[in-house]
Formats: sequence, structure tokens, C-alpha cells
Amino acid sequence: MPMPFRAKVAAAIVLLACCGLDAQVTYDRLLRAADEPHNWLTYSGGYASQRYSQLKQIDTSNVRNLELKWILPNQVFGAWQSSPLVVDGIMYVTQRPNDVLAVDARTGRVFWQYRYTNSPEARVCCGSNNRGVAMLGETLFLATLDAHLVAIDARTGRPLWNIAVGDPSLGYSMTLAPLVVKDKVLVGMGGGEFGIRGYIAAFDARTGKEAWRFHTIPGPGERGHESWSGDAWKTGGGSVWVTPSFDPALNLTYWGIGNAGPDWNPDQRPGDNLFTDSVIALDADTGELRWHFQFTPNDAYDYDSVQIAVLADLNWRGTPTKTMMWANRNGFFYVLDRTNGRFLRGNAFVKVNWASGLDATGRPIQTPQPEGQPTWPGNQGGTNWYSPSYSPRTELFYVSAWEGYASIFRKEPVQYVPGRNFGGGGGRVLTPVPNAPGVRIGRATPINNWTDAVGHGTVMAIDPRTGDLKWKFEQYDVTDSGILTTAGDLLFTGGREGYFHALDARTGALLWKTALGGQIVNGPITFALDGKQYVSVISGNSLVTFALRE
Amino acid sequence: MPPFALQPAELTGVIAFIRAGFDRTAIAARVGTPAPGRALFEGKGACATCHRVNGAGSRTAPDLSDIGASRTAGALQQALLDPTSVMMPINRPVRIVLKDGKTVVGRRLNEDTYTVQVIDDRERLLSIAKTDIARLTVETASTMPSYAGRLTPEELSDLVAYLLSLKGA
Repeated sequence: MPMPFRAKVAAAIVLLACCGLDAQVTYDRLLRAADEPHNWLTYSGGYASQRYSQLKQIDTSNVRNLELKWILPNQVFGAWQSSPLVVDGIMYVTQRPNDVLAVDARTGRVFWQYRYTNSPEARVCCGSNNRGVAMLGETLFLATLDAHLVAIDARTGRPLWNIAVGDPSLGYSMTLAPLVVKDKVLVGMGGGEFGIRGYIAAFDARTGKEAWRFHTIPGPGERGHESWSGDAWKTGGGSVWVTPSFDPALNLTYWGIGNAGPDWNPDQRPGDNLFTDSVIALDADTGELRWHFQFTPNDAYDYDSVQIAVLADLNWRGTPTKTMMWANRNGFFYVLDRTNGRFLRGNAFVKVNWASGLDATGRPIQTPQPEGQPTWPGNQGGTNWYSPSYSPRTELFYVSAWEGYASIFRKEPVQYVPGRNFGGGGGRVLTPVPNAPGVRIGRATPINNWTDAVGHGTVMAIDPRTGDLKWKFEQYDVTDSGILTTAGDLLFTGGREGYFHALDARTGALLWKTALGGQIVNGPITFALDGKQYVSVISGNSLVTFALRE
Repeated sequence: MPPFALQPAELTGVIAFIRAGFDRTAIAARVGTPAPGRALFEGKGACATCHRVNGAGSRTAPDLSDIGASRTAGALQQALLDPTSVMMPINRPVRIVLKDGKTVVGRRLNEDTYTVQVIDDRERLLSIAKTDIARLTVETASTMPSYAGRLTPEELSDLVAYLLSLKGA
């Protein structure tokens, strides 16, 4: 039966409303992402990477009324580390290894699925992970395990262009969600366990043409090269595997740089090994290095500085200051001046014995432990890549930490073989009895009756002005979950146990929890549709979305 | 795998280490005869009071039906002489005092932030909310007695032989 004209118009309006056909993510919208909290436009929810939302329909008084709205099951196994975007009613999420799905954010129904076939030469150290996409205009950008950057039509899931960014046969790979700045797509290269020479690159979002490239390990004649000896820089590592932050006023992008190669044998690379284990500030237009700050010179512990730089303007001892907050894998929490990289303050947030403290410039005073003795924090660090959060309302910095966790490191000579692991040793988790289980990268079993003896996870609320711990929320198992805070003064997070927790962001009190079963190894997000606030999190193989009971 | 350039003595050491089941302690243990070892297990040693083998015995301590598939003779001997020194965290006994005054003693099977699962000394599977618990104590000492001095060296070697013979179904 033909549809009457009025009905056709009405249907078209509904279509527009339901499916976001007007979804154009302009750079202007990305700049003001915080002002449209019904969307989640970048990996960390905005360029400042605070993973904080102004939404407050769900708050401390009603969070107990959250109920399940929909579940999207994943079609593959393994840790699901992706953080979705939500743009005008449509959620874009990646699943292993490099699939992208466009999902109705109200119902969880899938519009399309893009499947990418990686080169058989792709190799990764720690699982076929991908952490999400970026969007500009009507185009999504995906970084792949075989080191390609792919542009995808956000309406159809069809690829628009696909370019090689690195050589997968040499261990170059990408797992991060790219960041769009102006008309460029920015990515960084992973592969720190394979003796890569890391780099960051920017590409024209329309054509895929490379605009600039910055090597995280400086070559001869470049600033920082003097921190290397001989040819060690050629296999110096310096990977990037989480999304950078961006300050539009300073036009600076901030990147956390990974471990040096080989990971555990600093004897093969004398010197500070810049810019490994550092934060670097690059000009967004040119890739020019403006400043750097190194957290762990000549690292012997695999303390990647691959954390999210959290940006906030704070009143710092009476002066308005553009700061950067950073809880590092090495166990120290830092506050830097993000205009120039100057160290403002720092302190250990977990037990640390590889350094006795930080000097006036923020450089660690290293105290290597005797061979065979434990080093705190252990190999996975005091924290790791899991997204922290900062709430402008509470003025607290929140991070998922591992407490009571140490490793016994060993170093050994290793010869570089292209494409092969270039570790040079390793770390064994300190356990109370010989051959007892330690904690691993990711959950391997639902049984856990030992981690109280080898470490546990904690959500920490830290006052950035003093470094003081305001409160902490301890979990039995360790946690690899990111953190979301909201204007409802809530903090959402998960952990390996599969609980999804809502805490009071001011006190740490548990207000609500639900057992989702699978490990939560990503950061929750929030968005709104038709005046209703939703919270999404991925647990195990399920993407789960909650809202208040009707 | 790359070829190794090992000296003969190093090669011998590596082979011995592999044959010893990668046992770093490398404890020398004499292995006797399984049949009298079984009699000891079920009789004088009273092992079945707590342990279970192929469907017989108690469930309160770990099932040993396939213990010989995962332990070396040295490790088994060590477990018999000094049980606490080789007790895995997963086998630590727990004592739980509930808020209603009851006490649960058993083995902790699983735990998370909010709950703990145990098999108690009456072989019941219990899942207990931590909000109901007044005190949970994880013992670091094994409840298993040491057999040092209780068994002769020959008996000990026979018991080790019996345990080594348990390879599962």
C-alpha cells in the first residue's frame, strides 16, 4: 500500500531523529565536545582527556535505580579494550581484531559491520587489541594491527582509503584510537617489544596523505639523540599505544611514550634513552617537538609512560596554571605545567623502591634493587594504560592502581632480529610461595583465590595540588578498568572481577554495583538521547548499556 | 628455536633440570614402592581423612587423584615433611566468623570484592557475602601435619611412590 505524503514526511523526520543523518562531526564540535555531553566524540570524551561528563540526570541519589537497557555481544574472544564513540544517537565501537560496528545507541541494534583483514605478518606482544575509532565529518578512522590507517564512511561502513603507516613484519602495529585535530588524523606506532624505532604521524583526513612524522627515538643530529650510545637508538622502542590529549590554545598534542628497547636490559642502551618513558608535546600542525619530560630515564622495568595525559586549568598556589596530571606506570603521580613541561610536583601513589624519590626537577633518584630482590611496583606498574579521570566539580584526579604488587626483574643480553621479540629479560611476579600463581596480563580464569597475596586493584582519588590520597576503593583482584566521572558526582569503573561499580566521587562510597561477569578492561562512557542519560561499559564479550528505571 | 652453544656440563644440567620437572628446588627424593605407599595413605598416614583419591576419601583438602602428573618426587616429599612451605595460596585454609556468630572453616575456592566461596569441613559448597562476615582469616600455615618423624624413610619413599603413581583418570 503506498504511503500517504504526510506519513512519508513524518517517517523522514523520525528517520532523521532516530538515525542521526545530520551527524557531521566538525572540528568545532570536537573543540567543544564538553558542551554537548549527550555525545561522546573522542576516545577520552574531549581533548582535555578528563573522561568527565556534564550529564547529571543519574546522580548519587538515584544511581541505585539503574537498569539494563541493552547488551551487544561481541563475536570474538579476548580482552575487549575498546572505548566507543557516540555521535547523535549512533555508537561506533571496534571489536577484535579490527572490526568496526555502527550501533543504534538506544537499542544496541547494529546498522553495519566493517571487517578488516590484517596482514598475516601482523604481530603484537599482548593480544589483538584495538581501543576505538576517531571521527571527523562523516568519516571514521581506524588504526590497525598491521599498521594501516583506514578511513571508513560512517553511514555505510565502506572503506574510503587505506594507507600503510608502518611495516608489520618488523613488529610495527597500532592499537590506539586515533585523534583528529583540525583536518588531520594523528596516530602513534606500537611494537615496543620488537625493537621498533617508534614514531607519531599525522595524515590529511580527506586523502590520507602524510602531513608530518615525528620519531620518538631521535636520530643523529636530532634533539635528544645524545641520550643514546652507538646504534642503540635504531632499535630503541618508544612505542605509542593510547590516544594523545590536545590543548587547542597552545596548539600542542601530548603523547605518552612507551618503553625503551630492549625492555629489561638497560645495559644495552646506556644513557637516558629519550624520548622513551616520557611525555612529549608536539605542535599539532607541524609535529615539531616543543618540550618533553622524561619520567623513567634508562628504564629497566618496562615502565611505559603510555598513560592518558589529563589536562586541567588549576589554581596552582595562587596562580591560574595550565596543568597536566599524570599517574605513571612507574608508581609516581606528577603534575606538570603543560605550557613548557616544567615539573610542579610529584609523589609516589603506590609502594615504590626502584627510586627513593624525585629531585627538584622531577627526575627520579634511582635505587636499583639487588638481583633476585623484588621491585615495587611490578612489571605491570602502579597503573598502566587504563584511562584516569578528573572531575572539575570535586577537583580530584582518579586512577585505577595496583597495590602490593612487585616483580623480580632479570636482564639478559638479547640480539636484535627483525620482527622478533626484543625483550632482554623479564619480570616474575613476587609471590608468597614458590611457583604460586601471579597476576597476568588480563584475566585467564574466573577462579581467583590468591591475588590477596600478590596485589590488588584500587581506585584512588588524589588531590592534584598536594598529591594526598583523599579516599580509595579497594578491590580483591587487580583492575585494568578506566574511570568515568560525571556532574552527578558519580564515578563509574569496573575491574577484572566483572563488577560495574558506581561510587560517590567525593567520598568513594559504593552506591551501586552490578555483576556483569566478564573482565572490564576499558573506560565506561556516558551519553544522552531524548533527555535520557545512558552509561555504557564493556564486560567480557558484552557491551552493556544502563539508564534509570522508567 | 635457535641452537644453543652449551658446554657439556651445562647441557647435562639443563637436561637434569627438565627431567626434574623444572623444579628449581631440585630436592633429591627416594622413590619406593607404590603398593605399600597406598596402604600407608589409607591406613597409618590417615591421608584420606582430608584428601580424596579416585572417589574415595574426604573433599576438605585438595583432591590428589592426579597429583603425580603435576608434582615431582622432590616436591611431594617436601609437601609431606613441611606442608606449609609448599602450600599454594589457593589451598590456604580459611576461618570465617559470621556476624551471627557462626564459624565456617574450610578451603577458599574463589573470592572477589564482595563474596567468598568455600568448601567447608562438612564438604558443603558455600558462597558467603562479605557483608555477613565479621572476620575472615586466611591461614598461612597448613592444617596438614608434618610426617617428619611419623614415617620411616622407607615409608616416606613408598608414600611418595604412590602419590607419583596418581596420574588421574
